[in-house]
Amino acid sequence: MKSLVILALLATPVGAKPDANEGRRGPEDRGPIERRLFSNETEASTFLWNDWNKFVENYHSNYIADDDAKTAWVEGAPGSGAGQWVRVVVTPLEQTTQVRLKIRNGYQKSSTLFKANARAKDVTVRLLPSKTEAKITLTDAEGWQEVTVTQASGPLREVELHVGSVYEGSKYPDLCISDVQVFATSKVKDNPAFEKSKRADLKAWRAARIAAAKALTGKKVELPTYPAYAITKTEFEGTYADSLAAVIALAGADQPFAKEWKDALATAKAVAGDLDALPRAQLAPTNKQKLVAVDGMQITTLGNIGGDDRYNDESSLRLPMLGTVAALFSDQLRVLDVKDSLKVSEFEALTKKCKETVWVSRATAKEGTGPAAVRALVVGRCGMLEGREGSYMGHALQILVYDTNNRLVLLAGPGHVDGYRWTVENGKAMITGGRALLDQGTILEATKRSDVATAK
Amino acid sequence: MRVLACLALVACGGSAADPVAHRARKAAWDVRPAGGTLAIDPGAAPPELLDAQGCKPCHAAIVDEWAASRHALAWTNDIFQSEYSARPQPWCVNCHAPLTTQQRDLAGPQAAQGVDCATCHVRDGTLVSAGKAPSSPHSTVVDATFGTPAFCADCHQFTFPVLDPTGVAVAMTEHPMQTTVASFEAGPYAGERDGCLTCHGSKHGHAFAGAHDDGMLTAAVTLAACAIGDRIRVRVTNAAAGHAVPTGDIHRHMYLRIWRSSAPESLVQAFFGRRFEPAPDGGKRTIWDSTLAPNAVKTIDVTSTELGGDADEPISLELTYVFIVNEFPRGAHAPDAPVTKSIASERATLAELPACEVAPVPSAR
Repeated sequence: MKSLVILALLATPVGAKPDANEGRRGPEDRGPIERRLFSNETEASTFLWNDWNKFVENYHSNYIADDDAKTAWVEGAPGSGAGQWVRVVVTPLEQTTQVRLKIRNGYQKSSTLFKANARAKDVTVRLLPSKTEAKITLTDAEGWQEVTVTQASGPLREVELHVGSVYEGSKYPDLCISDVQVFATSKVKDNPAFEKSKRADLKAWRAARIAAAKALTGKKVELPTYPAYAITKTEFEGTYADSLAAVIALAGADQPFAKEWKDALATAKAVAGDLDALPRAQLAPTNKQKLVAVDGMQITTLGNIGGDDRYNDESSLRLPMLGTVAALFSDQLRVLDVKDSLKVSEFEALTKKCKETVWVSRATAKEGTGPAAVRALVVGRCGMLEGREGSYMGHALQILVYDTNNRLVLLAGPGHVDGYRWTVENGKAMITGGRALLDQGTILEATKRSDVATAK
Repeated sequence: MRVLACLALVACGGSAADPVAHRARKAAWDVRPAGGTLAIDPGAAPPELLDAQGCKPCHAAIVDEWAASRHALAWTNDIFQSEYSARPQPWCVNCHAPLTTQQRDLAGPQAAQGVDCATCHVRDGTLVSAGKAPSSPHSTVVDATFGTPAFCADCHQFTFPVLDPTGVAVAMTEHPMQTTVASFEAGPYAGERDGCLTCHGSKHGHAFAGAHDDGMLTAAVTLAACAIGDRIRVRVTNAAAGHAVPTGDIHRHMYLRIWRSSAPESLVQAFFGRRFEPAPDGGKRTIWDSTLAPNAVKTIDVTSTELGGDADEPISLELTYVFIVNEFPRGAHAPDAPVTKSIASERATLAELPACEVAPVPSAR
């Protein structure tokens, strides 16, 4: 490995003894370093999902990585919890020789809850991809306990805990683990800035779940989304799409997408092909209920899709940046034609006096029946964004395509195309899932959460 | 010998002259407005003058040196191409494949030579240089201002442009974008006879080592740490560069990071770079500049407690140079090439650090 120059040896700080730096070492010279690895992605065999965490504001396996004793992964299978597992995905780390885990066993929100719920007893710790295993027995006590697993020097990607037996809860059968912290030893230099950013990602995910619960619990709000969707990811050879037409073409090249959303893609393609030909419109929605981000469905904002350094999040499908339930139903939007000649290209060049702007594409009107149905909308948003280099004017366009039932079936925006599947449940239209193509090389499948993951 | 480290990739020499004054004289090489709003027209030059390979039979050492330089990679390097593919603005091309003959075919072999021999040396179909060897067969136009800082300023000193919707620069604003030459000329080495080449020169004069060169970076910027009570004091010094560091492309920046490996969440970092806000004229006004001027020192004090972890756990320090806007690029246009360079790093417990002898200074983070 290339050695790093230790410049402390070249420049003596004011007042330091001239020779005092002699013999000091750089990171590599010290040999392997143990470092904390954060996780913003976990999986588990199951998690408990009931009225106490309707919006996944607790119990999900991600809560095992949040360093908060008041939350926990709580498994959701019938029985004691024996046989359940949780997987913590960490930053890939080469040359890993040792993994130390700090574990808060059970539900440590309080001593009462600790005793009331089951705790893990015999556990197999599995390091992936090496498949190194260690069988351990956790103590039935509150606070942190530690376990260390060594492996032959090699990569570390994931850590799994397979629970063989439990200390049974006095009141509930559910197995809980409040927290697992991962410390890995490797010769590879650690990257604290990246780890810190992962911690921020997890905190943001958690904050969104809590915000959804706060916004909706106990209120009579009818949303067309379920509280959680499971996301599966596959990769493809991505190509940076510098226009809506380009990303729609990418989605068209994905066979499952092209087959299931054939008509919607054709509409989106036609709209994107001649954006400047679209007439301006104004929205006067009849339903002003705001959408709420749920697990697996995020609401896009100018900031997260319109930035200079855009990167579409891979943990969820996107919902329109209009951010209202009406955006999902064209007949709730009341789309009014307006006499304004501002073209899409002119909007994108605006550097000031910029506000949300809408253009419409309608089906062919039948004589004497009023305005034709809305086939698609183009929504433009702009505003000042904050980047690493300071503030700047950002723009984002989204194409919203509706089906003949006035339901949003496709959303195309910077670097993303999302298709939605609908069902009618108790007379209400609900999104059951969908598929998203991201130009960075990722395809997401979303399904209403009810599935059970499998161990590797 | 004093080491100067000017970090821009410049091909310069001669006295430290005012770039504006030189432009007023209309030097032989000066064929376009300042700021790279136009391509460089080399005139009706014979093909061998427009291809580095045509120069090589007689100037092999120089061409080899240039071929290993960042000038030769100006168009093809992965960092530029990844950013250009995201925003393909023709204005950028005027300094990365500057010749009109290159821009006729940006996928072609001449464009791939980036800032090549003809970029600097061919105007009006003939050679331009600072001098001419008696044995030279060329009908060279000799211009004493060739290779001076004013010459380098053509691509290393300019203001933000006003771009039309297609990315063509239609005007220049008053707001500085790249300021390397002005920074040099305001610095302590402005009077050096060889100008930019004092540091960026080489055996055959065409290596133009800059921020991508490990030796230049580590000679230019130093990192030192000492302990004072329960604090660590870290000093970052622009010890040898004749201009601010970082310089050049506005995306370039540096981070000083101080942390304990068991507690990355308590990471302390200092940023060295510039930040902007939109200006009414279409440019960007500088609202923050923490780049290090020549000989400038930045001192940061951090308490051991602030860093988390155990008191006897080693503290890591690292000074990292970042070439693009985002240190952790993701997505379809993320470059494959490394986007950072570690300038200096160290790991020691507080007890292992030498003692500082002066009182703590307030942190300037």
